[in-house]
Amino acid sequence: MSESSTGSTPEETATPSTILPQARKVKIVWRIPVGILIALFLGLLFFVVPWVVIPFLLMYGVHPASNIVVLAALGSIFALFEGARFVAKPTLYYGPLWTVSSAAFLAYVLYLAAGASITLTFISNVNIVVGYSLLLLFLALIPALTLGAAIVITIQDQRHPGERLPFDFPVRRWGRKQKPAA
Amino acid sequence: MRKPRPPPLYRLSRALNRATALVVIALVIFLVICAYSIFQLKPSNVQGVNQFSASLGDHSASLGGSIMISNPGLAPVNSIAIFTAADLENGVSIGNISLPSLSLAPAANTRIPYALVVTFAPGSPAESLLFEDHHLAMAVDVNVTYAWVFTAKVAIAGTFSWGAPFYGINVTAGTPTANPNGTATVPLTLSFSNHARFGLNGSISADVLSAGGTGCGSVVFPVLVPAGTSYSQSEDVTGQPGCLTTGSTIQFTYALGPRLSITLPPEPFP
Repeated sequence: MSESSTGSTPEETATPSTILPQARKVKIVWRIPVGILIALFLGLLFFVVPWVVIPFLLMYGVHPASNIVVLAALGSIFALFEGARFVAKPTLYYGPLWTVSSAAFLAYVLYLAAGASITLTFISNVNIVVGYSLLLLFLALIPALTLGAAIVITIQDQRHPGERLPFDFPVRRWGRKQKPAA
Repeated sequence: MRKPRPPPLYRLSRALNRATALVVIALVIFLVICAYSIFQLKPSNVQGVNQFSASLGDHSASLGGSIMISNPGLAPVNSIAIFTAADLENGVSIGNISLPSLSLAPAANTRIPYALVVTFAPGSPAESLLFEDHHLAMAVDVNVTYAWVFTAKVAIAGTFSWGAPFYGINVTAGTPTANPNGTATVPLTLSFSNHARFGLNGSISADVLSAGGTGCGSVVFPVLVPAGTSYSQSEDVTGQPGCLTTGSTIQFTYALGPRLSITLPPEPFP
């Protein structure tokens, strides 16, 4: 996967009154380890943490309503696709991968919101149920907006492949501030 | 030559990304404020169920307490609603109450009193509270909405030890004495124990009613019984000899001032 996979070049979509900038050459090989690191970090956050934290909470009488398996599954899908979309940013796969990762994150948050309550029991006769569904519904705005952005970028790539590349990977203007000659 | 603009769809996608960043920043700020405020929230004076106060009212008793809430944080308590219910040992409900919801602004304090009023209607299950000790099953539910998005339901269940104010009430009659005017005088001895957490200070009037229901004599017992003490006092009642006898009944009424009175169930004339 490289920028050549996006099909047409930026020049093909340029209008007569504009000169599209050139896209920087992107070496995909450097994006792979970073993408793996992103996937590992998000996997730790959304897969391992629920898997470790929820049993820990259960030990102390805190009963979260969410199912740990569903959370871990959605979290790992999100982490994998988020890492993959970083790797695939210069390609046509970027939009679909971003769409899937955003949809997985949206599902993760909405699933959490559906059972967003924690039950605490003190000395057998005091029971506290804390609900935070509304907060998570507000939080769901984040993946909803990114899902919208992902769908838009997918359409953009389908209609005009490669047109965004000069803006996502602009050519570095090295030496723009030139030192005056001695 | 003008600077090239990104394609419209790309700009839309970028705008959505920026909106996402704004939402993230706003949520982080909101969560920091909430976290700070929640740790500042201090409910105090929260009584356990068994530390409720109890007092007598007009044909009723009041069980309850109060919660002092201090909210020095930056987020408001949008609503606090309290529901209290009490049941006898056999599960029969003797009363419940829902307090109207109230709110608490940031940097404000409030005291929320809550009281369950149990009415001693004649023949009602609650009437036994006057003469019998009970272990009442109490439930207090507090529903709170905090900072618009957090809800908490606190359920406190417990047993309230209710001590009867007129525990073991008993009346005995002495030997009747004939009066020159044809009436008779009978010494009546009223005794009971005050097991309640409150003292009794007032009077108990005893009206002797014939079998037909007509009044034929009355007497007033002054009452000053601290909590946890017993009472026994004799007073003379004068009436027609044919009335002050077995088959008649005595109607006791405990009165504390003109506004508070409790009619106790009738006792047979001893």
